[in-house]
Amino acid sequence: MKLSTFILKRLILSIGVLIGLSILIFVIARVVPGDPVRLALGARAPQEVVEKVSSEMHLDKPYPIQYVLWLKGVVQGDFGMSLYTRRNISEDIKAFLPATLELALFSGIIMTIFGILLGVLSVMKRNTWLDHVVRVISYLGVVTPAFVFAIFFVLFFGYVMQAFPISGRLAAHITPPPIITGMITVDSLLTGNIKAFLSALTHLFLPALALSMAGLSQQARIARSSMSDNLQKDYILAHRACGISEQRIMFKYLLKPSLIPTVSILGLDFAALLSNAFLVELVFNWPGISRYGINAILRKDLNAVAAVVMILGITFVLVNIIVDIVVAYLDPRIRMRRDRTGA
Amino acid sequence: MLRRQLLALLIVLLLISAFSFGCGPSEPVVEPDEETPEPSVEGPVYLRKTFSWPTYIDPAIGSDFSSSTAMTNLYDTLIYPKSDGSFDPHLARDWEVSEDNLTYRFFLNEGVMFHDGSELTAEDVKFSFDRLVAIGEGFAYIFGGRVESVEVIDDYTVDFHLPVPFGPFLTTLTRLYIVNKDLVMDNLQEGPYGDFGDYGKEFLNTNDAGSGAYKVKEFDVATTLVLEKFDDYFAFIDPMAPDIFELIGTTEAATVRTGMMRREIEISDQWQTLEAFNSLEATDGVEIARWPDGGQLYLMMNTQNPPLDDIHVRRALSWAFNYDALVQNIYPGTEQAKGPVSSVLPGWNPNVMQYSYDLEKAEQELALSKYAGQFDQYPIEYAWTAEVADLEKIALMTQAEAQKIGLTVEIVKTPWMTMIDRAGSEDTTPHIMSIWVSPHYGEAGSILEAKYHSSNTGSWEQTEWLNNAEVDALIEQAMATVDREERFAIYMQIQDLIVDLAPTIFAYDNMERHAYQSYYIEWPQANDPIPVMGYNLAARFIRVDPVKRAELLGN
Repeated sequence: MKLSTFILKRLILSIGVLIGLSILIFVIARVVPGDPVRLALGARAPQEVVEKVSSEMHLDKPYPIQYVLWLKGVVQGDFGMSLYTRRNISEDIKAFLPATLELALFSGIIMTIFGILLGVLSVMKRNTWLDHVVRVISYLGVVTPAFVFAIFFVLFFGYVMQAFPISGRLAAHITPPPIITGMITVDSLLTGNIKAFLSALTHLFLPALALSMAGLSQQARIARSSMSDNLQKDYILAHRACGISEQRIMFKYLLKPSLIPTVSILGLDFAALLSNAFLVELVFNWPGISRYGINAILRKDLNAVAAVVMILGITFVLVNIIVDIVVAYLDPRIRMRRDRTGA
Repeated sequence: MLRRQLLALLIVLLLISAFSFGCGPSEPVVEPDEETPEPSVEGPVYLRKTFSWPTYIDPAIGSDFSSSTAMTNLYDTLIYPKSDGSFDPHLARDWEVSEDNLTYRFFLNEGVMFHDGSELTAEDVKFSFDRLVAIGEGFAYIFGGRVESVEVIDDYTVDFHLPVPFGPFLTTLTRLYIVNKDLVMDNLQEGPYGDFGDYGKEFLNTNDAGSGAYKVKEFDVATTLVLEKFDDYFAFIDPMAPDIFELIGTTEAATVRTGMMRREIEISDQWQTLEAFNSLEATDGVEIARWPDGGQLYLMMNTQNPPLDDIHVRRALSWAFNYDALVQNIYPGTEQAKGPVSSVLPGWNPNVMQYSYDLEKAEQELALSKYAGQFDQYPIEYAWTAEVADLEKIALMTQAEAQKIGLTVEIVKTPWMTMIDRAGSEDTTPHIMSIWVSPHYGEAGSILEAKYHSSNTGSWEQTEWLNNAEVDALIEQAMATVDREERFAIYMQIQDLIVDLAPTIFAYDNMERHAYQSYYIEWPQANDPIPVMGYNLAARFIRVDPVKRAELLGN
């Protein structure tokens, strides 16, 4: 099966998953007690105004009709109005999603590179104090919630060292670059605004680091475990017998097959980044989609909740497709099996 | 091909990551003058305050604390409230009231400029009122049904016609923010208001159309509102008022504390814990401003639900509540409430009877109850808001004290949305709900009407379901009384009556607390607060000294 056919097939399957997800979130959001419009307009808003807004949002119609109307809007790129921000949700997504993607992207980079490096280091120095330290740190990283790291980093790097900004995406006196992707680091690079890039990067560093800690530790653990297993394989013994240096074996022959489980779990870790981002965004006052989504849930902002879940669902699906492709690249057996079975 | 692309991507990612780590903790990448405008005293002077979000800057939408603060700085009102509950002329230089108290004529100041340079006229006043009432959100309920029409007499004269006299009318005008009609009309979108389209809702969601001392510079609806000083403001602006007033949407304790210590936040939000305030108060140059905000914590009793339909059981619970433990241990620094109105609100009755913790009196009341001897058959459901941990302590305390007099209280942790839902009907409202309620304008009538007039049952502000004809009649009478002294006398009568009926346990007068940089900020309202939400943060009166700030940073 060609790669394009494989991707197409995955995309078609994903549409089914997303429709299922949309129904699920639509129903869940509506069975939670409380009138979202009353909640948004306040205790003293006249009943006729509440009814009018409910009607504008089709909330006075039966659930199946509400769902069809909502889905029709979504297909046309209209997610409806948010009761939280009082504007079209498409605008909200445009404003908030890039901030979270930027955060998740940088966290992902930190997580992947340093997770794997720590894993490799641990294997290279197996059963030494360094290996033990890495393993203990990895355990701590996995069990400690991201917001604890976030608060610790704010207090340590923000207050004690005063080395990094603790809030927002850009220093107040720096003019933001024109919006191209919405990711300030990328946009500032594209427009050659190095000052804005550096400022954005320093603002990004602490939240990205806090968010990446759990995944980084997880990656380190998996990389170590996978490499340790492969180290016992015959082909490594054969390489050693041929006199190939330990370093070359490690990076050229051992690392690549050992990365398969690491990369496979990246998709899940990326999803975890998006969901864990809420508290990190809250602590660093980061205007991202996760924080927006949680605020929407707390206010029972039905359309916004559904939109955020769908967007995160789509992101998750896309990331997993990319991961599948990368895994296929890393492991020829998977490519060959796919070619043979047409699966 | 794919392999090469992936390799390239990996290299790019590695480079970016290496670069980001090159800028990491090992290198001091943040040069102080690069990331913050200070410690240099050059550049704009900032006033930065944290808030609970969201903030709505449309005067027909916003009504909470951060929105009120933003609107007070962006827009102007016909009159301006004072700390004693009276008011000064503002956009209106003068006014007169017809003999039948049904027409209020306002004479506007000439030469008041909107932020776009156009002049504010009577047309804008009429438009602002019509728009607020048509949209029906925000503070519209204050005026709903109480003003028949607004009539433009000439450019600088406008009449408000009332169907019946409305005593607190002038006070309520502190909530009518005047918007620039032409600017709004130029920015209409399609919408449900006929010729007015969306009435400018989309535009005013992120832009201002005001004449206030500050105008919108940037607004990131999720996190930050940045206002800058308006140089052509018609009224007083202190020469040391900040150039930039930034409203920051976070209440996260670590962020606020670090920001205060780095002098990057000048005033904190009021939602910090007691421990956080204590910690902030211990910081050099930081003090805590405290004042009663006009609201109270009410333990509302559903008066229609046995055994609380019996006045003696309600009174017994009022006597059995340990007020001292509450104000000393759970909310230190506060005072027990005296009656249903906060002591800071004009119209409060200082002579109203005050319940105290007295189990003997509680037992005497219970003995008079028609349910005496059968209380085990009538467990009392007490719902506390799950999102506020301290409320559980109060629930547990109430439960323990009630048990001492033979009442069974069952505590239910209830999410806020469920609280709102359950408050919607008499049958679903729990026996007791503990909720803070604040007035919407600076007078006792606001809280009395919201809390005890039958027309407001079914909202979370009134879960007592008192439905008392005498109380209703007195509130209506007070509202129709224009003479302030007479109206206040009726307010006091209502307070006596309500305390006697005991539909509510009046727990404590809520204190608004803000940590602020007292070393380099002079904040007059912190010592002389105005009892109208938002007005204490009119930035034009707050003096910020950048030299003193730099001194602190130098230390």
